[in-house]
Amino acid sequence: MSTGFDGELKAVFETASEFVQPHPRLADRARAGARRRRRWTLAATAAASAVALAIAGTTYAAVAHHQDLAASPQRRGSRPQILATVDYQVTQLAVSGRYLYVLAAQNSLLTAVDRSSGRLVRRVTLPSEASALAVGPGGLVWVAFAPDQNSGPTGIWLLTPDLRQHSAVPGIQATTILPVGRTSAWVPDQNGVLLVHVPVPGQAGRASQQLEPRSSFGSNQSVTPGGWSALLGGRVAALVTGRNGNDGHLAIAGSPSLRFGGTPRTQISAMTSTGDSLWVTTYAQRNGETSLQGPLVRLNTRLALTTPASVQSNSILARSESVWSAGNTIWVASGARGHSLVCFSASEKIGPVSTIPVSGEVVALATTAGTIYVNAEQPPGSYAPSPITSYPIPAACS
Amino acid sequence: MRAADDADFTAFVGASSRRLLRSAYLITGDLAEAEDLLQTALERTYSRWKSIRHRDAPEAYVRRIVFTSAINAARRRKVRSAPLHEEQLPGQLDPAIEGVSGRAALLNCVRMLPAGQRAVLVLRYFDDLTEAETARALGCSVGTVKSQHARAMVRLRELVPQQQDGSTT
Repeated sequence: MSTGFDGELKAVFETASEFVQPHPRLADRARAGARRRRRWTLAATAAASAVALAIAGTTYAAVAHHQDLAASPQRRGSRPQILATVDYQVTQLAVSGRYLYVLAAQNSLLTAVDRSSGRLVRRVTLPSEASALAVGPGGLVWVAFAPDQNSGPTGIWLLTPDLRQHSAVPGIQATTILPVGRTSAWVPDQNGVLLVHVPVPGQAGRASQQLEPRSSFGSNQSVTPGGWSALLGGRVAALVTGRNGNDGHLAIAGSPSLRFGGTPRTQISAMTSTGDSLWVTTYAQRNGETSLQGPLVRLNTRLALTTPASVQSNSILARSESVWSAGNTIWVASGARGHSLVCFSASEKIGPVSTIPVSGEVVALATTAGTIYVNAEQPPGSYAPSPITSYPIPAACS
Repeated sequence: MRAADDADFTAFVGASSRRLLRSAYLITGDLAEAEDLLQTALERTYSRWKSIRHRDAPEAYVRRIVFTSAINAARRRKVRSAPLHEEQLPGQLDPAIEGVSGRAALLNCVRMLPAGQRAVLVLRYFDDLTEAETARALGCSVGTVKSQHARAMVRLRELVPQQQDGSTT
């Protein structure tokens, strides 16, 4: 190069950054942050999937069947198809009607994709970093946002299914949203459960919020940032923590004496609900060694263990990492080799476990009648656009 | 994650983090933002460490996340914020080189470049990457690296004399 700046630039960069020193416990900080990030992603996806499926119904196509609980790869009739690819990190998927919604929290982007053609219908830039996504009755889309490192507002938008119009309620910091009506939703926060009303998108009206009576999660207990909530027998269950922030446990709004988890032996990594049951993935901390894999358990409305024996004894479910539900179908991300995503029916009798042939760690999923949409981690070093792939749902799981 | 993997990750962070943080600081000009970027990149790396640790260059993986995130953040800031005045540009003149007016002027000029051009310069002259390695780190083509580099140098040739004139008046 003939600019004469070569040597000068090297010297300038060396000198200007000489004083920079990383934090001595940076590795520990990164570990803790990775765990928080993973919980956020998995939990948020679980909430959206549960809501979307409750709306979409539970008629699933038959594509495979297994007679025993030991999982085997789904092969017969399995035709995974790439619906769309995106060039950013997906944090959550949701599906309703003709649309698949793709949330990229860090990019503040919400995208609607046509499920039949894979065509991008509309992409919306949110005012700040997204923190929650849910699809409610009528197909209206709820999305919450909160300030990121570049600052920005806090609030909730309610959007039409095609994302063309929205209404807003400012000032609410939501980590999960549970739609309870076309324009109303429960939002757990540090004081209990807020009932939020938002005008129909594109129509005049005022947003409002009120704290539901007797909905406290306990004194000094607040919903975990990036945490989860689920409807359990008509009440709100959520992951909450005390002031020290490291005792994350499940609690039920209005019944603060009931709790599950929050001990070194039983940490919570994800949860979902089916009617009167909570399905929870757990993990343990032992001798400084941590893993986000652990047993899948079932709890009743008193947060007491009711895990079926067939689930307890299953080696794939013993290495669960996250859980979602859709109707009576339970979806589990597992660390078991070759079984990164499995499903089973949890109706009256626990059904056989079937494996979805997903390659890579599941990042986000959403389900609708007969089809599951999955975004999985790309292989390390792969910088290709990230695919969202659809798989037929095994008959054994419906 | 197994304890051995954890130990590997700790060793990797210990060995690489200072270099990576310095690079991040040079492109952002803001130490707090650089620390955030690096920690976020390491969080993502830790999530996939089991597979990444077997590769030759986990540092390249982290560097790519840091640089692309920094450029994206700069672009978003540009969209959301009013145009920056010179005195509001990220980063302050480093006291260690304040006495070296030529280098100080050059550093100021580098900080006035668009984030993409700044990233190319940092990768080429601080991290000593080749054009191909720089392209991989930024997720772009070698041609783009060359053109960004050329534009940066042209712009520096315009800016540095102005800075030096300003510093002597």
